Amino acid sequence: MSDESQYEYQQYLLKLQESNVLDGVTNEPRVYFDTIQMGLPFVEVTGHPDVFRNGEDFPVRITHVLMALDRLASDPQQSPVPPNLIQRVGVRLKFHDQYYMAPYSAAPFLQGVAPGIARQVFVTAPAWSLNSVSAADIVSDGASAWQFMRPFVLSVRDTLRVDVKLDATAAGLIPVTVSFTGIGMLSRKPFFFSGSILLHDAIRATISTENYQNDGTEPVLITNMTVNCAGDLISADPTGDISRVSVGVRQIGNGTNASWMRGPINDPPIVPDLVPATLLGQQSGRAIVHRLPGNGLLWAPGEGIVAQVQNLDLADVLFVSAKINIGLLGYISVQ
Amino acid sequence: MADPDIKRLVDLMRSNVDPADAASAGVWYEPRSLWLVKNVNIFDYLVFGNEGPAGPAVTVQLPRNPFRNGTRFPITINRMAMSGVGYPFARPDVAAMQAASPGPADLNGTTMINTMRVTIASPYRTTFSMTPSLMTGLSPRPTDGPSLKNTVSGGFPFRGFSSLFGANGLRFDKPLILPKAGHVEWDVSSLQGLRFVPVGGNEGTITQPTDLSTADIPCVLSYLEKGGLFAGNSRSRNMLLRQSQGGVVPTPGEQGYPYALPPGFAVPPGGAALPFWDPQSRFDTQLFRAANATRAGSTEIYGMTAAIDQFNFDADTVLSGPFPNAVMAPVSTRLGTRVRLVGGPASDWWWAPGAPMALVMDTQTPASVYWLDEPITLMPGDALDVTVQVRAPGFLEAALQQQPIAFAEQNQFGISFNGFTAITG
Repeated sequence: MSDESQYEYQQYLLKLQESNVLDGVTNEPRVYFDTIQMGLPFVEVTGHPDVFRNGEDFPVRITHVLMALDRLASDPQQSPVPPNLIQRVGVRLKFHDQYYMAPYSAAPFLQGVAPGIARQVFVTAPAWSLNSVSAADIVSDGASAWQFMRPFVLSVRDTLRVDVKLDATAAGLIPVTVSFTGIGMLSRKPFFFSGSILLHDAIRATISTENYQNDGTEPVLITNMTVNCAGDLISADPTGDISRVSVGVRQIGNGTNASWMRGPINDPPIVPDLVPATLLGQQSGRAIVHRLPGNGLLWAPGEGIVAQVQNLDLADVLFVSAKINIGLLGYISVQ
Repeated sequence: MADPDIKRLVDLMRSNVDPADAASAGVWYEPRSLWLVKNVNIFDYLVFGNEGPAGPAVTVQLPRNPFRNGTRFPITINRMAMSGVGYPFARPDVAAMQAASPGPADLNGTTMINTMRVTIASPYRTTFSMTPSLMTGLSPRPTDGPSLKNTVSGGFPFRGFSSLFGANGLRFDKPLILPKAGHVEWDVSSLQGLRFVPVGGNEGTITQPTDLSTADIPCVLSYLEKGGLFAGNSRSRNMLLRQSQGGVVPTPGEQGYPYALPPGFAVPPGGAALPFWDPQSRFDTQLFRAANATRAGSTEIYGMTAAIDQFNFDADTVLSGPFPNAVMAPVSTRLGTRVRLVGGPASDWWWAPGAPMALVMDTQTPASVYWLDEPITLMPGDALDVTVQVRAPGFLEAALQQQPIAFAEQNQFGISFNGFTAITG
């Protein structure tokens, strides 16, 4: 599924609209995410149960896998975690007896392990990466941008509920902005919806829905979403850190009205409908982005997979308290 | 090969044949690169008195052979990649290095192509520009990963690390249809250990040479495949990239392999000298077969990645070494590679062995990559003409002030032309 096919689908919807015929399918973005704490070296750790599972009544297509280390470790003394240590995390997805990318790497040689000692090692996260997603240096530290594989329709009078929170209390106030861009389905003019809020702590806050309300006279095809985290207002550095922010979205009005984000429950401080914003950086951001080959994974209702990770860092024993965030991005098709 | 055959091949390539139909069309696609690493000492070319207003610049005609299609099949070139090659730093710690070495020093890094210009011509066409074009002015594609600048507020000094992910990758223009009995072999070279050699002398400065980190570097090589029940799979292999700490200073051949040492650096004395193709750093055909996840017969390989974990290597130098303000270069600009399909219709290396990984795996790379607006098809025997112009920044000012010359008198760069070949017959 290429960028061209995204564009073609968008043009297809616009053409349908022109002839006042719709295909009867409503697509809505979906993000399934998990936060998994690393174990001891080489221990295979399985993520939360039933997180990567389609719990709705309609099929879901997963197109991208995103990975990034959480800024904070479970041990506060080990925070913040060096983000480039993600190079020492092995990841695999399990679907019954099938493994993706592979069950193990061949003939592992790792630092600190004598050559020839066979160990079963997952494929490391950066080996999944074949998409460059770095925006300009001046913004990439504080921004995540997602181009929807299937745009959704923000109908007239519809709005979006956007919730955000920080991962920990900040020294001052941190401006967080969530924006959506799209195309008017009748006028073809560009639309921008953007709302900001000042955050201080890890308490969930809602950006005013007025910012996202379509109060025009035409439905809008929303194609892109961007989350931006600026620097702390009391800091001299205006650059923020996107890994501090979590975000949740749901459409109010048409659509499913369900949360787009689905994470683990009953495991604070994870909030099940607020995804770490780094995992939204499918178009540009600071996550490892892997586009699944072909048309990706198609989940019928009830279907899903399991994620497993492995700590490959022998040098730094403190790494066991680090956490990795894994996100599966796609869309649900409602008919 | 008769002319109609060639025309048919070119037509097939231009008509974007569906890879799934490749076998029935009788055409097989493999990646191809033509590359060169060149070390230019400006004094070998400089004619005094010809300095321009921006300092002296020399024009060097690169040899044609590395850019010649020496195979039996046409090669379509659609990308060009450029980078400084062999440098331990992307951006050196100029102040620290000048303090240690008041004489000639390597003040360049892999970013040195910012001062270079290039002219390219292809057979049966005119030159692509009438004047030499700045290498970085050729609309570089966004191919690199995020940097580590300011990623952790109030945390560790990550500024000098080479990259966030250490990821390198090549997405094939056309998927490689792996035959049932076929397998791919992939070698990565060992890494040349380096020490910084301050020159001193003029001021009587005596500074001990500084070895760069000797840490081995973990690396994972992977092929990405499409198909099967689970969208796809990969065959991957973990390894350690070892550094040779001694041995003979390599002499560059015509294709710049092995690479010459960057100016200002030397090989540490003693220790083990490793072969350039380290047997430990091979993803050989046996492992390739063993890593077959699907056993589904012919599969489509659509890309390959190399994840290079140089966390310790970088940390040794920028956190505890003598150059705290340097930015480390990804070692993919110092590693040689070679790849080929065995058991297919052709067993040619995909590029002349020894190509820097950053130049040939150009989907995700620290090199600067430019996509040609119109691909160039090189028929068997055809070649590209490439001319570069190298400038020595700061030379004129230093010369006028009768100062010891404190600029990079040598420039070592790599340039590659990447695409694919269509094999038939």
